[in-house]
Amino acid sequence: MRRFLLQGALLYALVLWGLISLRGPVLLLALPLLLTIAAALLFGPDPPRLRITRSISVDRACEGQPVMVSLTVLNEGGRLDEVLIHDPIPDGLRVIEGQHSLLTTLRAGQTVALRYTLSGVRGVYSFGDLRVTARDVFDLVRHQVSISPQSAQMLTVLPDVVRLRRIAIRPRQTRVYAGSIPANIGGPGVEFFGVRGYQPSDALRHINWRASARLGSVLFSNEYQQERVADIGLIIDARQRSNIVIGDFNLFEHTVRAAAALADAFLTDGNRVGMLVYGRSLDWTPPGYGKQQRERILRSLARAETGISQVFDRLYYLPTQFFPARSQIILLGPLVADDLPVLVRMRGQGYELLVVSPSPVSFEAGFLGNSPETILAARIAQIERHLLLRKLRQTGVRVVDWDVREPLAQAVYVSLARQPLVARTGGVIR
Amino acid sequence: MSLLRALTLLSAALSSAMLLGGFRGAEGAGWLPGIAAGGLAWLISEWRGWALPATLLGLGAFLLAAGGITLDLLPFLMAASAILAMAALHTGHYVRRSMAFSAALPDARLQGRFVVRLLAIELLSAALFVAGQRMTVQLRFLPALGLGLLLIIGVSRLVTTLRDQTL
Repeated sequence: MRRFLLQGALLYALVLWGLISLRGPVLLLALPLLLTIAAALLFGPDPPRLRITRSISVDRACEGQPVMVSLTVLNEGGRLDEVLIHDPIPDGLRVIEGQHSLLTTLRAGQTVALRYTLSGVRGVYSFGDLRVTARDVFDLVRHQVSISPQSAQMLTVLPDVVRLRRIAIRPRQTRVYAGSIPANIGGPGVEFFGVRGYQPSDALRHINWRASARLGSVLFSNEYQQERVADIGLIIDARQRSNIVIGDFNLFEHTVRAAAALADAFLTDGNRVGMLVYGRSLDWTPPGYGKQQRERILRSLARAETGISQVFDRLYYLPTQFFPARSQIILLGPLVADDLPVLVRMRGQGYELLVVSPSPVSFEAGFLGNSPETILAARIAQIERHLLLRKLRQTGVRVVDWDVREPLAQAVYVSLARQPLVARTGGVIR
Repeated sequence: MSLLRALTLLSAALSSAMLLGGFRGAEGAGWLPGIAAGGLAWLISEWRGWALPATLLGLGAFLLAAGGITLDLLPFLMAASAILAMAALHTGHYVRRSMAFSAALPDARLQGRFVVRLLAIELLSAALFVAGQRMTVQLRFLPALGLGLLLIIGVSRLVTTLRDQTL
């Protein structure tokens, strides 16, 4: 309850009590209250007029990285006996050093500074207005205003990037630039590709003497498999229906971390990477190379969140035309049963498809305890998931079934250690 | 801040003690243990920084002092108790809102200003109470009624002004 209401009620009670009981001393007891109110009105503050400048040490940070926020407050109005300046912290950030509120006295023209350090989890954070409360020493007169600070208002916290070693992918089509992905084209390289007729510019060490001796009159040269860069499209499944949230833990965070790690690994190898976040809406990062693209993708991942959309509730409306034909597509997300036809259709369209799927079953089972019913339910769910993944694998889709309690790198290397039979034979199982 | 905290506890203890002293002459045996228990609870609330019980018990002390005057108990003791209760209420609230911030109110002059204003109000109230006690006013019914109404209107006006100032 506001102090003035309390004081006013007590004052009323005493005055009425004194008048009704016809006792002067009771009326006289109201004097300290009256005098306090009079002092508060006489010495009370004016509405605060402050100029506040906020500066944030960086506009982008990694998860857990300390970010320093400095506020400079200049009093452009009259004297404020007691002023409380509160800088609200957006959800997801937490103060690790200092205070984001300051209770102080401000003379006219005086400047005070407030500094604190915060860190947070992945996200794009917008700092709002500051709440300023000025009051008299008895806290009877109070002025509360919101003040928009000048300058910095935004902070982007990028997701953690786990470094992955080279990931073995083999898209059906590569680009013209040299890279690390084996292309179905002979030329300079390391891995043996085939034999062709000798050409005058061929090095002597590339001549295949055995094949040349067999035919006698013609020379043959060895060809090696060219390694080139490729187009890689990442699709992040941000549909709320396919993700699981338990308390503060969200399966989607694992998807985002996996996407960051894969994007970083592919870009480091020189590939052209684009990304689509498919959830409440479509957040499309067009394909690109290098560090700038890495930054674009990480920023897109920073703002990614799950959502509900009637249109994008199923993968049916996945705009595959965003990705170059016959390129490598990597879908990241827990799968649901009705995703299967869409993925098969994409495979049929000529895309090389890799699914990195954080397992919702193991994620949820980790929170549910070890009762016999829970274990049985988890086993049934796991069997259903195995069946779904098996159907996917049978269509030539490579699947990384990631138990999120294990590191991503381990799951990726175990699952992608061998090329599937379909990929090795160029799409035909003999 | 520890000085203000000590002042709060001292005011609350003195206020309770004066109430106890005043109510010793009252009929009925239930008053004194109740007041002593209430005073103890008030002190503990102030010590622990529990805002709601401290405020309610402070207001209770104030009202008890008014009740003591109505019962014709020692008026000066009751008035002193009420004034000290008010001091404890204000200093307690000041200490609590300052303690909410570790780097709170570094300005010692503000604390001084608070204490001076509070002390001035207490002394002025005590002086006016003493003066009022010595004064006798005889009024007919209608002028007394008119003055009473004026007093209520004045208090209403004051509280309204206070509310308007609190935005």
